[in-house]
Amino acid sequence: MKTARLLPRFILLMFSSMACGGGDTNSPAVEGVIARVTGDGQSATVGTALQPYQVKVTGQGTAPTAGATVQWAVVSGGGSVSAATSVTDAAGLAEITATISNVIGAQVVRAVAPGLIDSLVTFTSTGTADVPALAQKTAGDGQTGTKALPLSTALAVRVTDQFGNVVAGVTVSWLVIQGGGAVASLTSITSGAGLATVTWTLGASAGASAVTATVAGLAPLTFTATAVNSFVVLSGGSNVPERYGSDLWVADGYGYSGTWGFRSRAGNAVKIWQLNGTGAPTLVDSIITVGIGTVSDIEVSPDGRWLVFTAEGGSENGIHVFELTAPGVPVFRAKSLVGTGLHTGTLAVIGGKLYAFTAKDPGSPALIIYDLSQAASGVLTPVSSTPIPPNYGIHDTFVRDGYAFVFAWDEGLYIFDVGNGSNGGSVAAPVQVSHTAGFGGETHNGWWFHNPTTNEKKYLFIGEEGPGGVGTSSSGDIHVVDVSNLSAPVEVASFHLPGAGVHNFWMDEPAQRLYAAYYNGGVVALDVSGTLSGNLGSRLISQLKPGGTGQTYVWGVMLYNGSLYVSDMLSGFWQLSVP
Amino acid sequence: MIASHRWLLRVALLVASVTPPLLQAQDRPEVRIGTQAIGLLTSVEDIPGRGSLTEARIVQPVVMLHAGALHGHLRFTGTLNLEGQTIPRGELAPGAWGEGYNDRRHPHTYAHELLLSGIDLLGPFDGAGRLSLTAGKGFAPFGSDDPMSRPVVRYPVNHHLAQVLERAVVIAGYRAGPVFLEGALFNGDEPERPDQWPRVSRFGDSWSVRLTALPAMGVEFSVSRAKIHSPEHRPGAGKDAWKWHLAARADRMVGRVRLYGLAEWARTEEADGFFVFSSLLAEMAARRGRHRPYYRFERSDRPEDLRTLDLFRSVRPHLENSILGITRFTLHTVGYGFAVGPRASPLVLEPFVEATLGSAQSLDGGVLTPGILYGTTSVRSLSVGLRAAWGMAGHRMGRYGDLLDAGHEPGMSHDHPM
Repeated sequence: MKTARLLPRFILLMFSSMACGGGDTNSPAVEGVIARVTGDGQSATVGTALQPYQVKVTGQGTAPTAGATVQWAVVSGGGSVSAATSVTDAAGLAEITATISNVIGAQVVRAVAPGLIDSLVTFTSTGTADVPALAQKTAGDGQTGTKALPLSTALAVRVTDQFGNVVAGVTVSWLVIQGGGAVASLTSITSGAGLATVTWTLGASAGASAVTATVAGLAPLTFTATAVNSFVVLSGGSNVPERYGSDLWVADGYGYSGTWGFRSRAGNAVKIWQLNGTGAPTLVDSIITVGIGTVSDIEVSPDGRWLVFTAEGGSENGIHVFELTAPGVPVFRAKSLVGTGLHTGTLAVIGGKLYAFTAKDPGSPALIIYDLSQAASGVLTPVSSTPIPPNYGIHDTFVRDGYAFVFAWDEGLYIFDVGNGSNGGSVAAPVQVSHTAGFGGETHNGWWFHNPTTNEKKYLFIGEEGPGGVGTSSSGDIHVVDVSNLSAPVEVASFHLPGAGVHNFWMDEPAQRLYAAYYNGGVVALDVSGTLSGNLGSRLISQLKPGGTGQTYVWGVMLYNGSLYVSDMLSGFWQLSVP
Repeated sequence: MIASHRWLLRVALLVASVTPPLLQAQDRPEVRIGTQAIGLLTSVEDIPGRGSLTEARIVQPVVMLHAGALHGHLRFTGTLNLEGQTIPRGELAPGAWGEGYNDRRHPHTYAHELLLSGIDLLGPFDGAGRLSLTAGKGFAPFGSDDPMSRPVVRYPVNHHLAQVLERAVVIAGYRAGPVFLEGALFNGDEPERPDQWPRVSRFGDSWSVRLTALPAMGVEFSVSRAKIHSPEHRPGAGKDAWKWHLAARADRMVGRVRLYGLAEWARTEEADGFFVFSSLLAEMAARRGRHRPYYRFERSDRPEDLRTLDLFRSVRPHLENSILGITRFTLHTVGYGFAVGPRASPLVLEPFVEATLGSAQSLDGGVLTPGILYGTTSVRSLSVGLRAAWGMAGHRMGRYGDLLDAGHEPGMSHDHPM
């Protein structure tokens, strides 16, 4: 502590001797002392003058030295002194007045009596903020949140004075003026950083909500928010205890969910769920395929006739096609085996024919397109195979308007013309429109948003699948890409959910909502209306972990008849109401 | 392909059997050949998918060739490993992992070591210092010796945390008195089958350094650091692994007993620290006459990868950067060997019995826990076998250049009866 006090003094002495002594370092010092008398340790509002700083100069013994020149200067903290020098009077006293700068903090002024052995003293005073002159919203405005629940981001106000200094200790009063609900505290005090925060729990009804923040003497600030309905579990759950769940599809009153990996059984089952009048699922049958380890993707054709799934992890890897002779009644028709496996399969009708766009796993990953038009007679015809660089390969494909969006992990996004005609491509000869890297580097899946409200086809949502410990942790964000020009996609926005990473998507396009499976984060609904830019944190509508914390790791979601169906790896097949 | 490998095995064993160990004077070319194989009967309870399994295999069949010329300035180290023929599905070993195998130790590549070293390249120009350069396929200078050259037959769980092997590597080493500094560049990719070679295109994407001090004969301390790019994804899309390793090792005579001991700590971080795997291992052996008891304690973490329908195997190549959990194995392995071959001979015949008891615990509650995989958290295995070796004395896999013969007293091996 003593060293800490002496060190700055030593440094000041060094600098002052250099500054004042000039070339006089060989001149002998005269016995004498300069000492503080009054003025040290004051505190005053920024921009104001302090009480005078006074020093006393004494010679041999304690005799005052009259007529000695004392040099004054601001060493740090800004501000000014009333005079650069002053002369001691008969009592050996000299003084000046210092003015604090406009910035809060310590101001140090030194007084030097040249030529004395002990020739330096310093005065330290503190500038404090002026009265509050401005209050600003710094966080929490414009959020969308689940009704009756706290918003994800606390409301925050920063208070500053006329010079822009943050003002601590100011009372901010909070008042709910619309939508009901409550703030955690009616008042809060600004911190050393000038910030006052409060948590806002929205009212019990969906709709517009508002809170004011008031600082005495200043105009109130208004924070707005939109309260929406929350996800609610309607039925399901804890219904696939022997296996881990994978992908799902719902059509014509039946749900189909895959399984993967190894629990007490291998992930070789497709579960068939009958939905009752309220949409609640009941397990009615299963397809067990010996020789596969994972049902990696599952889909029903738009006409409801074909149930298609892809498989990995065994000897029967590839694509398996079943005809739904009636809803919920699959009959095996055809398969095409691919040694390393197919990671996903996406169905699309192009030119009146049904095709499956499949992602062939590494070592030699490729987009393989199958013609399913002869599946009833047991024939699956691969019509093209487009190689993808052999990193982690393709993870998913989204097909719309004759374009195939291929999500290829480290490689990023490929867009192929597979029948649109813009670039002369076809399913037999896809033509690459563009290739764009980025999106977090682990490009997994996507959805090209056709907004029926604006008629825009501007945004492509891409899921990034970062590292994760399956069942417990995950990472990766949603990236929003402007594909107005398909030849040059540009990322414009992103959404990050702390502590979890995204997996598969579904969209309610008329409602302009994106639903995302978020592994250990459960299920997330985002408002994707209007212009999307920057951080979409405030677009979070609702989040739910259907199995609860520790028992939730959601693979996929799908909206059907107003319910969101969820396939959770750990807790099974669920029906949720949507916000 | 298989037929050719069998032919190769026969030739290698024939060469080894007719060529006696030979260590000639330093001013003449030096050639030393050794060979080893272990007949092993192992029973494990419980295995992946539950239940027990007993298997008889020939493990660690190797033929080693050391050659030197130019007054010891040029050294060749070669080790042919034939596990691709004898244990193509791996060796039953609870907790073992790596190269797509789980609870089975993977077979090594046929060309286990194939390196040429130039030693003391600057001669008197760097004073007492000695600069060496080594290039070829083998171990990167990181961590401890290959478990194959250590007393316990059963491989430790930490094999891929404490060694970096089967790489195309260029090593620069410098010795100043009792201190050795090694630095290396190599390819990050691990092999996925015994006949696979390192990807030349990836050479240089990974590095390691190791500082070794030998304060006394047979006593050694080392610290290692390595960055390995995408070790488990050969094309290179995987995450980097950052590794630390600390070790203290002793191998020396104390009275009439040859004592060996190793204590090591290893830590691997992957995906910018998203995954962390640690290991603590201590092992010791004492050879007196024909008797050799030994013991190992190990507490090591293992990543659980997505399995195939064969639960001993995981999906290769990886499809993503996720794992299914982390399992911590805490294992005690105790063994006893009794040499029956002639004393002071290059031939070693040592029947042995070895048992492992311990536990496996999920560290993170992932989806592939010991309870799901084995139906228990207990680990139990028992092995009996016969170690047969000829001329393997002093061969420490993973040390090249000036470190080739360092770290043990000359002419001694814990394998050999005295």
